[in-house]
Amino acid sequence: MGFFEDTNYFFGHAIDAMDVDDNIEALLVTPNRSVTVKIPLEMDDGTLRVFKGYRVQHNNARGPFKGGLRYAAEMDLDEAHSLASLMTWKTALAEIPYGGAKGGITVDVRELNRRELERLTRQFVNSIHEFIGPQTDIPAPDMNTNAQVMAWIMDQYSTLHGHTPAVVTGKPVDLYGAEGREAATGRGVVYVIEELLKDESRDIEETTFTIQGLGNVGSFAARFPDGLGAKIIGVSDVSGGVYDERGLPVREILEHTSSGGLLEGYAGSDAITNDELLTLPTDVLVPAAIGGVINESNMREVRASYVVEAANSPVTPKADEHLKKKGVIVVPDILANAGGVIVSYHEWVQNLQNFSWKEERANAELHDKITEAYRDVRKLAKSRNLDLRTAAFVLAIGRVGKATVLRGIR
Amino acid sequence: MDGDPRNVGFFEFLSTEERAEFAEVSELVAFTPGETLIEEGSEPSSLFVLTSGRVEVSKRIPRHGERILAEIDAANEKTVVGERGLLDSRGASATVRAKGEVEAIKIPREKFRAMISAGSPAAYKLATRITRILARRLTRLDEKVVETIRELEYRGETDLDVFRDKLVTEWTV
Repeated sequence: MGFFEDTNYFFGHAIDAMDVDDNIEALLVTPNRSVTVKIPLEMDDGTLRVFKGYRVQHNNARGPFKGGLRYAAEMDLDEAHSLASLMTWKTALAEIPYGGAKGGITVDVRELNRRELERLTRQFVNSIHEFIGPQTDIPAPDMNTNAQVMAWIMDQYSTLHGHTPAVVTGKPVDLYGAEGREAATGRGVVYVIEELLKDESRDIEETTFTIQGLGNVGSFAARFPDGLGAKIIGVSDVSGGVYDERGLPVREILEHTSSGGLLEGYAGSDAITNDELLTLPTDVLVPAAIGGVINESNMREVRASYVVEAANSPVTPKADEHLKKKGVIVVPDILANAGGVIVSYHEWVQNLQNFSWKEERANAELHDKITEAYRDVRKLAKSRNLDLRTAAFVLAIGRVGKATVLRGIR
Repeated sequence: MDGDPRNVGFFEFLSTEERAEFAEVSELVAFTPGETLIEEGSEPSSLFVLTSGRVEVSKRIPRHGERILAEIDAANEKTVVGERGLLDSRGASATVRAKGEVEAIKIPREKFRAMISAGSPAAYKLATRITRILARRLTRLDEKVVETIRELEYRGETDLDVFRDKLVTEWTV
């Protein structure tokens, strides 16, 4: 089962729990619009290459379409569709006034230099500019796209439509970007963990953490609990991990990795493999790297009491079922990693107002939004005896559903 | 209009002797506009064969006041009201009120019951006739029920409405 099937599985599970009619399910699942465009590109060496670009706009019942653009060799319309629908549920769950979208280009970015990547991006904007806009569809960074790519999109769109910073989020801080966006997803993960531990009457200082992945999300997720006095006993990156049951010197490790070093070369603690990391005797396990890492082959060895999905789909449906039966609480990705899209929303709000918030306000707003989402999910889960993931989907589907019936069918 | 059962079309199915038998027990009654022939919930009623005028049949609906069920015009149909009361021992199921001047032949319930007890063929013939009227009304009622159900299914029960009700009643946090 791939990532997309996983998403559809969890969505289907919630739809079944709600006992929704097939016609309504079709209304919620079918995307509003899918666009496929041709992007011809002259490479620096004079050869011509033709790429395909996509934008799937899944649902805008609650507001303008919102979702990332990914540049990847395996990107196609089906993938964009699944990811677009996931954005619809994620924005609904976070209660930000957006729908869901996703898009990108089928391209291996390693084959392009920076100038080619810029031309490709601008060409893509030329092809889709009629379908995006600050009140229509607002793209954001995703796999292999970053703040620089967003800056090119903003610039190209602005040459066609006039100055429009709010057409895209995840821009560089020096060009209408939001302070703290890089850290936002990791910060959101930590806020959710704090609420979770409160609910479970656990002291954060008495709780042990294990974090897989020290990238954009994991490194920030690791930094915050450390600041709160938590004991992080295991961390890993692509090269492998380190473990110390008395707690790792996280600050030191992050200094080592942020200067480009791999954990493999870090000699301060016991080395372990990524597989071993997932089965450490820890209270909270935070998979913050890639999808599918907790699956049928290792689900029986997971010893954590809580799994917080900082990455997208790190727990497969089979493993999810198993953990549920075992009594492990899994905080689902659409809730745990919603910090990114929430801060994107804040960036958009500030762009529309030609105003910028101070860091304290930005963090406070993120905290309010994500903890409120967590509280809603927890409340629904408790009252209807659902796991957190099903409750999150039910809540999101309910919000999109209400907006849909209130608007009516045109 | 003549109030004698011997001259009223409704009693055509009876022989001259049998009609004379009913002439003995029946009485001609007249109602002024708005006057009640039968009151819902009251004692089982007598039978009224309408000979002229119009009546309105209505029923009380809990919390919704009174609802008009039918209007019967003696000029259009040879008809009776109170037929259920004649055969059944329960109270009247609806109110019948005169819409204008109304004339009718009243066959009091107790006199009819006495004829039945005495084995009067005329009374049994009338009972059979009333049964046929009831059967026809029951058929019409069945059709009406089916029509109403269908109407209800269409009215306010679209897929979207069902979904909205589900979200609001079952799935609101």
